[in-house]
Amino acid sequence: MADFTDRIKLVFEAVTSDATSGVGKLKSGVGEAEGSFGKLKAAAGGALDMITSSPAAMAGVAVAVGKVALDLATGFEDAALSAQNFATASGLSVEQASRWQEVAGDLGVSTETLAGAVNKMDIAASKGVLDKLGIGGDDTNAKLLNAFAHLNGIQDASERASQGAQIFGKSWATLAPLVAESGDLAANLAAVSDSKVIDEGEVRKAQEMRDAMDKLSDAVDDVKLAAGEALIGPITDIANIVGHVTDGVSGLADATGGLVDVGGVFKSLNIFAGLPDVLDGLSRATDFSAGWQEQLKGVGSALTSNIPVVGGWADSLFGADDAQEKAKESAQRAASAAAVHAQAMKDQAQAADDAAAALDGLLTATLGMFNSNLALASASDKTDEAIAAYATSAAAAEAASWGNADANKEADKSMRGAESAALAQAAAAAKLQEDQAKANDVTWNANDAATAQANSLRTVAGTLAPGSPLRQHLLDYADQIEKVPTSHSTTFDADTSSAAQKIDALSIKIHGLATDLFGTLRAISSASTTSVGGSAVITAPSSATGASTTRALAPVPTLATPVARAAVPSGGGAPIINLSVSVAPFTNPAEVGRAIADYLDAFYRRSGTRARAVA
Amino acid sequence: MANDVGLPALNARLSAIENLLAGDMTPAGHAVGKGARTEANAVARDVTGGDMVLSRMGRKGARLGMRYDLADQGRRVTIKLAPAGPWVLTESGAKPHTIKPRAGRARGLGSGWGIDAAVWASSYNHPTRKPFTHPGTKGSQARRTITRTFARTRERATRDFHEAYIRGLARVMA
Repeated sequence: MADFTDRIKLVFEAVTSDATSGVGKLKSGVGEAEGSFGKLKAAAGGALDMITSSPAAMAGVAVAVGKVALDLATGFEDAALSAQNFATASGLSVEQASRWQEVAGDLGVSTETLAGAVNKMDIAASKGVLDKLGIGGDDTNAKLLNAFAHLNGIQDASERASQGAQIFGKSWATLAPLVAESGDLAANLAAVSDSKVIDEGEVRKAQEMRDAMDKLSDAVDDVKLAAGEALIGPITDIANIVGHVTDGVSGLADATGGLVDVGGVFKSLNIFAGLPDVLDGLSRATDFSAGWQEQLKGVGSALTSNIPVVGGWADSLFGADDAQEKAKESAQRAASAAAVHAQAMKDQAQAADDAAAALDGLLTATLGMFNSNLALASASDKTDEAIAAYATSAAAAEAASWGNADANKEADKSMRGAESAALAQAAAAAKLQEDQAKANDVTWNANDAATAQANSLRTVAGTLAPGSPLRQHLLDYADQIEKVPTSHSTTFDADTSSAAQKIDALSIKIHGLATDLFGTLRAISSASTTSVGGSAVITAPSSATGASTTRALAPVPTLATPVARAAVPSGGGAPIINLSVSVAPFTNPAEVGRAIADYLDAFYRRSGTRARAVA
Repeated sequence: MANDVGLPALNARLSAIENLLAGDMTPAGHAVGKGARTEANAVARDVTGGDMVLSRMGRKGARLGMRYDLADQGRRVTIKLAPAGPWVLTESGAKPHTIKPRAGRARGLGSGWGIDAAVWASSYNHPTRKPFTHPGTKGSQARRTITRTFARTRERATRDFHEAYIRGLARVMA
């Protein structure tokens, strides 16, 4: 026996190398971010210490902590980079800039306003304005303090405004709070909390943090690309019929014609068909417009959103929402979405059916319209031929001054033919318009049909000479058609009394027929049939008394059920037995008689008297 | 772990995911293989009437069987339909061909008698020793069993692999 073993194979292979590599890169990016975050936290003093304190100890507030930590980190990063920018623009050191930011901010002066003013002051200093006004200082910070103190010392408001504009430009008035507080400015600057003072190292760490987050985003992007091709669980299938040729198999293959097309049914697998949330999360992760907090949430969602148990983990980690509540809401939303989806599918199926029906109806109507168009063209041709024939025959009759009977008859006949053809054409025209109305989903009623026919007749009449009898006839037809009422009611009065009588008579006839079936028993029963009150009765005279008894017949049974009723008269003489037998029509009389005879035999056996029916 | 916060926790989870992706997937492979067996048996029952055996093929009939092999820690699952004959016949039918009785079993082992070679043919009420021309079954008997089995298996395997990874992720993240 040929070896048939293991010739047909389907190979599934889960290729996770790309996914592993992508996750590795992501982990590396997170590691770098973690390092930068740690440095940032350390740089921010004790404000962020809580982040790495025991998570178990903070289980109750972990969610909030996560959010606070990231908020603080964001604020610190912003403050550091802002101080860096301010320092670069003003010539202050980063530390001085951060102190001035804090103090000016407390007084309602924005960093941008202060930076602009310092810039103008530096320009004024370069032009010798400060020296002219007697404002000294070794550096920008000292000059700024001295300038505010100088302006604060001027009693004349006009003079102060003039010199203020010379130093800080036209918008110097926005610095009024700093001028008013100039006496305490130095002390306030020195009193700024260390946690709010940024130094060069902290700026560098903030920049590292930003760079790390950029790298993290890049890593996420790599994962997203890998996922797009085939991340977690990508499967490549190798479907083939392995051709280990043996005698038996090759012979079988010859017999079956091969299976080369089998592999063609297998396309590349996409195991991510059920992971839309992952891709959504990755999309959020790489959406730079939303800020890196949202991006981090996206990273978490990408990794966890498809897992019911930890579905809310990512957002909980980086937001203040309760994970379980969110998971519950997600489940509810999913259920609602599923219901909506199911209903939408139903609606879609119904809509598809309706559309198919409508299309079918439209197709039918259009085809009907085409047929009607052809019918109208045919009818029109026939009308033209009939009118031509009429014209010929009328001309012949006219030539004889209508004195030729045959010609007159022929003309009359051709006119009727033309009228008939014109009416047929009118009907075809109305049918065409009706089909057009159906195709266009327009209501069509009897009045419309009458109008269409009348118009058609008038159109045909218009092609005839004004004095033509045929023309007048067609116009008359048109008028008559339009006079036909659009609706008509008919009343039917049904008289059922005669029907009831007929039913009674039929019943009597049936019973009479049944009675006639017992010809062999007539001598015994001598039954006669009359009709009383519409019901059939059999009146049987009593031989003993001469009286008669009347018994209503039972309804005709559906099966032959002979019933024998015997009575022995109280008087002497030969016994008279009255039998009332009801059988179905067309029952075999012999069978009925035999059954009755058996009943009578049984009766006589009991009574001790043997007597047979007299023929 | 679910309440852990901060980037260290995230990194730990990523490490776990990395290990999951590179780790042993034998259970997932078995799940895929068992699912494939279910689908193959369903198709076989459909075409054979329930017993998964082509009773007129060979001396004892031919069973539409299936087995699978795992490799690479469960990542590679090879679905095998065996023996190939009945699967191929029920896939695309058979062209007309001649069936010859196999050689009879030789006498031996003290039995005293061999077994006459014979085949069953539809026009005989008993096995015949003559070559018999099979008329072919192409058309009505082309039940596409291999195509259907592979298609159903492919769909199910994708889902099974996916679910296996999701379960693994759940263990990592929980």
